Amino acid sequence: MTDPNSYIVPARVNIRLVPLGISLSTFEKYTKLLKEIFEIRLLDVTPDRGTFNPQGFPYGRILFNYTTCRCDPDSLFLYDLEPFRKVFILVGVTDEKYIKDQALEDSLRLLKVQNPDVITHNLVVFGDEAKEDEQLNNLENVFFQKFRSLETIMCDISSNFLQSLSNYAASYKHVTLRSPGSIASGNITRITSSAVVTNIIEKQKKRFSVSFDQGFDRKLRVKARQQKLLGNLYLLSGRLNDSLKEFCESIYGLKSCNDYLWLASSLEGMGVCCLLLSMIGSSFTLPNHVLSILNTITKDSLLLNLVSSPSASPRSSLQSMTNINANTTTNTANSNKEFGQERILELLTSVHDKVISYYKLSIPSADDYVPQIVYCETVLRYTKLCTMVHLNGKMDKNTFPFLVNGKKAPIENFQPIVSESLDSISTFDRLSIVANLQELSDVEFEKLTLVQKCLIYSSLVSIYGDLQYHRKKAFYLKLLLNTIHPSLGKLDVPVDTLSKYRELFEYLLTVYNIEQSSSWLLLQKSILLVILSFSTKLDDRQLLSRVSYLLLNRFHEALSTKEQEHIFKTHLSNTSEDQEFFNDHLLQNLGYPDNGNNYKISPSKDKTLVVQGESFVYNPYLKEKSNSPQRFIIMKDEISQVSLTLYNPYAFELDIANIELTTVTRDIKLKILKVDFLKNEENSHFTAITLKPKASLNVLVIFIPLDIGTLEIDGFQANVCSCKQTKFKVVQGTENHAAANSTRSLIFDVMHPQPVLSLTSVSLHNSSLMLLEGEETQFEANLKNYSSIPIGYLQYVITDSTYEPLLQILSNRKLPVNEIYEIEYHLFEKKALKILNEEVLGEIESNKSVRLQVGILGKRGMKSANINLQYCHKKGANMLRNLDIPINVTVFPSIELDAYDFYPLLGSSQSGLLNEQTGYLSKFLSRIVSEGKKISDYCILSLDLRNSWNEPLKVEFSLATDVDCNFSIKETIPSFKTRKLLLPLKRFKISAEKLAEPIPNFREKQFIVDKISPGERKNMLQLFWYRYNLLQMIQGRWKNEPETRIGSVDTRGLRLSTKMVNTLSVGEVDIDINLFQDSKEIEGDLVRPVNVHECYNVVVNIHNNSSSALKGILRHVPYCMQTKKSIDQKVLFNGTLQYAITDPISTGASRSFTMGAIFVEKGFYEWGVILDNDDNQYLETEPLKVIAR
Amino acid sequence: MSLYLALIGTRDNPLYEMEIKMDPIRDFCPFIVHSALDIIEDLQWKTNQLYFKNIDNYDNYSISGYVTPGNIKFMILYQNLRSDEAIRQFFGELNDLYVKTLLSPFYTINEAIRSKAFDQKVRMLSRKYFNL
Repeated sequence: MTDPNSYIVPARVNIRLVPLGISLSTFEKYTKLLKEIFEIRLLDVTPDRGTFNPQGFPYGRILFNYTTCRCDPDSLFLYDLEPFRKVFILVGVTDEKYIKDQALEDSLRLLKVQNPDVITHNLVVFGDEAKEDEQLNNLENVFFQKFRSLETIMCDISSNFLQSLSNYAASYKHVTLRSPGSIASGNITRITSSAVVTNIIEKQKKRFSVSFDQGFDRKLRVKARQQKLLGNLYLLSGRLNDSLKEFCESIYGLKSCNDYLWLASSLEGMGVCCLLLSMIGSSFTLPNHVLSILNTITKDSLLLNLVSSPSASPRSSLQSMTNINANTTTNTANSNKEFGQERILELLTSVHDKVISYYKLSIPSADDYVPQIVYCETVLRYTKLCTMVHLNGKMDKNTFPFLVNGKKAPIENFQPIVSESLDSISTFDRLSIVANLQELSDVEFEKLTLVQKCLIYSSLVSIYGDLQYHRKKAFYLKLLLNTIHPSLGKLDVPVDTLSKYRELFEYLLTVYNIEQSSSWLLLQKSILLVILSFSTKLDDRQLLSRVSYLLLNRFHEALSTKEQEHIFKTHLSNTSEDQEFFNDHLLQNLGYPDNGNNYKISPSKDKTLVVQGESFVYNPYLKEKSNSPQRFIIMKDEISQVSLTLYNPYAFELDIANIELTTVTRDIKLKILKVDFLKNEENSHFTAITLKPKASLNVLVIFIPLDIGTLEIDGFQANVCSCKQTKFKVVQGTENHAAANSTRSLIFDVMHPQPVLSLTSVSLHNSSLMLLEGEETQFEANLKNYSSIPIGYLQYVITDSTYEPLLQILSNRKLPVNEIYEIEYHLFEKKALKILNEEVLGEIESNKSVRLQVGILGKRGMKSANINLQYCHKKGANMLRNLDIPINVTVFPSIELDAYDFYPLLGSSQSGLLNEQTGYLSKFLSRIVSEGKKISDYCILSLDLRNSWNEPLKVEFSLATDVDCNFSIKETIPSFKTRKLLLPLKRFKISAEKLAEPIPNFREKQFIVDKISPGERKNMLQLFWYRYNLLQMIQGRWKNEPETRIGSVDTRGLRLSTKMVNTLSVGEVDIDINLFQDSKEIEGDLVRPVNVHECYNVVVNIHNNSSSALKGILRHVPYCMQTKKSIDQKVLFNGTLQYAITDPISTGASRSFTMGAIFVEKGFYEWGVILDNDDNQYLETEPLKVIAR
Repeated sequence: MSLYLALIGTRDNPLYEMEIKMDPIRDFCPFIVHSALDIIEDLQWKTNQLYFKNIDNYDNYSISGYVTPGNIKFMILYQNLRSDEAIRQFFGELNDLYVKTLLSPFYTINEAIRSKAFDQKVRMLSRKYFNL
């Protein structure tokens, strides 16, 4: 088929070829032969006497356009306006085999019946075997290829055509020609662009105001249209001079009556006529009224340039022009004469401008408006001409063959025209050509029929392709594909056509840069989807597979769920086992799962293992760089595992089978035991897994390394969705291929086999235990060395859940030293677990078991405890293996210390306590009194103990320090009740040297900065050391009935105050006051009775307990409580009430001072003594109370 | 009035896209603008100006463009916008915004602009010049 948008289309006669009783391939073969005859000279056509007698213009040519399609019903309405759209000639194509069976007359008749719209029907019989039959040969309109050449046959057919055309033209003589819009009454799509219409209406309003007075002559318009039609028919018949004349005359009439649609069409026909005349080198002139319409060109220039003599030989043919071209170009004079018409372009440009402007003027008309398809094709035809000229460089004889036979433009020789002289138009630059196409912006393509749209789009594709505007070409190609696609069924195309389709799709992939980079996702995805649907219809499996791979690999994020599923199904159906999976980014992470401490091996921290020569001084440069990959240690022949985090980014399930780990180096062999993705499922033993849509999954791959060395695992390989085995690595960063250069891997050091110690059983149910606070109990743990290697070294570390919070408190630097001691005591001294038979942990032979006895203590707040065993085959090994024995503990409160206080014991309180017959305290005191000990050497510690457990607990307290006087009490405290226990404590004294000692610390910290003042420190040390001693003295235990739980009472809640310490400690100076009469001591329970006016001696006994000799002033302070008289008037003293002790009382010595006294008045007296030292003031232990009668 | 704006990098990659009331041809806008790159690439060597008005059209939509000295193309596809002058000024201010983005140490040339601030400012500009 020739170029459907060639500028000379209005001059082409449509010939429809119809097969008669022959196969498709044969028909195609004959059609090809016929199509080579695309023009006939009028000189060769048999003359007749009709209107279109070829002798009228023997230089003219009839140009053919062969088609095999039926006419488009949508173009029927256009036949009056553009008669060249009609199929005039029908040629039945058959061969000699057909005519054996059928009568040719009947066939011809049948053709006429079936194609009544065609004006001449012919039959061409191909083949060499036809018999020479005179009768057959003389049949009208039947031609045998055997007897005549095809060119002669076509000449005869043309002759038939010209005869019929005369009749056809005659039939129009009395017909009023109507515009397509009028005939179709709305079925023809029109340009409705509001902007254009409004603009034109404005212009027309002005014009009507001028031309309204003249009116328009209806007859003139009818005549002018007839002339225009005749011009078209002359053009088709090749009589160009008559055609030009008719067109020029019709232009005059149509312009006079403002019939814009027909005027434009007529102008266009005239343009084609002029071009063809210039092509054959014939002279022509345009009348003045036409030139005045084309006001852009001066008459002179046209006359000078366009008038030339006809070709020397009327036999020269356009068909043979390309062949004789080389010969003619040597003859310079001749070529100038023939083709000096470069200014024809100016004429055609000017004509086209007018055509477009008149078509636009016709738009608002009710009936005589330009149909969209007419308008579009006019623009395209002109643009095509411009493109041809542009590609050729200028308008010359080389351009004409392209116009006539539609040969493809010579792109190979394409050289873009960059700069052009604006003075004369000898060619066009690309931008001006494209500017012509902007006229199409007003066209609403959607309203056109499918065929019309396809024709327009394919023309645009061709034009933009010729101009090398690849993006534009791709855009219209996509539009074309989108337009065709919905109406296409399954295509069964031959291989060469398929390769052309592939070229087309390849072109789209290249222009949109799809395979190279993902830049414009939306755009690229859309193109790929179009190609995918086309390749589905073409059943091109190779292309399908490639496109679906691209879509799924790079555009899955931009695809909807349905699209993804559809593409996946398409891809799967085309996937062979040799094809790679479309995404190699399934692996998100590689990990080494931490199975707790058990069997984990770690470098030894044993100080004895420090390599010789390494300094113990901290060297920061020896620290491993943080960005270096972490290395894990695994054993040869032992089970290890790697966790793979897989992510399915798609909306469909992925089946993964035959998972194998991949290593960077292949030195170490692996044996994969199983792939597991559900830890809790015992029977999970999968070789294949299914990844759910948009979900991630952790997969455990359990393997055994079979060699020693460094093992670097960088991913896995597997068969995904029945594709070829594909490698998957962890890619850090984006999925962009350019950035995907860094991968992550797991590095293992595979070591020699190591012993494996395992916990076989624990004598606790579920390794869990309920304890009361302070309770002590035991359990057993059985361990077994499963390996063939004996354990030669074993150490253990005990921790419990209270460690972390206590360590956190310890991190507070403002904590006072005594508090630090208390926390450290709980951390290091009060261990929750204790291995009772450590001796079994020395060496464990292979396959031997040991039974570990463990003591456990209920610590407040403890929830769990752990024994971490670290072992290796021999002492000094680099690596230690770990085994944890975790115990879960719940601790409930038992006996709690609610409150406490210290009370001094005085001589006066002796009688009261001793009278208490049943009390355990009175018994103890009676015992010490009976042993001659002073009661004031003791004090009482009162403890309020609460039983917080839900059964009665029996509490027993014993005092261990006082060897001579052991004391213990037992008391049963009911559930949730509080009882007060009174413990007699012997007051004690701590030497000044001991008190000056610093508070010990368990962590052996070297530098402790103490910011408190010396006085505070002294006080703190005193309180600490007294408490320290006190806690060692008292020990409390509890048990229940029957005795199933035993524990100790926590007394560490005891905190001493200075007053308590004063009560608890023995004073530095003891001052006792006694009353004697004649060497006989006056005694009494609380108050000593004396008689007035009798002589008594007050004896003050001072005992120095301090570390230095004592001296000072001793003061007597007697006081009478009844009267306000001076004491001097009530008591007579023998001496002074105060005097200096000048002779020092040495350490540990006692001295008595006696003073005589007579009580003068009756009454109640209290006698006190004060010893004033340089630094201190000492009081008597208990004042002397006297009642005088 | 409707508008589709695309900033296009040197490798035909979109740096930024904005669409206002382009519902009928929303999915088609990138194709139209992409095809117009052929025209603007031809035009940019013919004049010294940066702004190219109405370089192409499709189905009653027009396309204007602006080429930065760094060969980044600002393309708008529009229908019934106010005036060419408004489009020219819009492009001028858009270029200022783009240069500021380019000055950011966190932005590399030819990379998609994901800054919300940039988006807000561009939308503000379209309100200012086109009442969109």
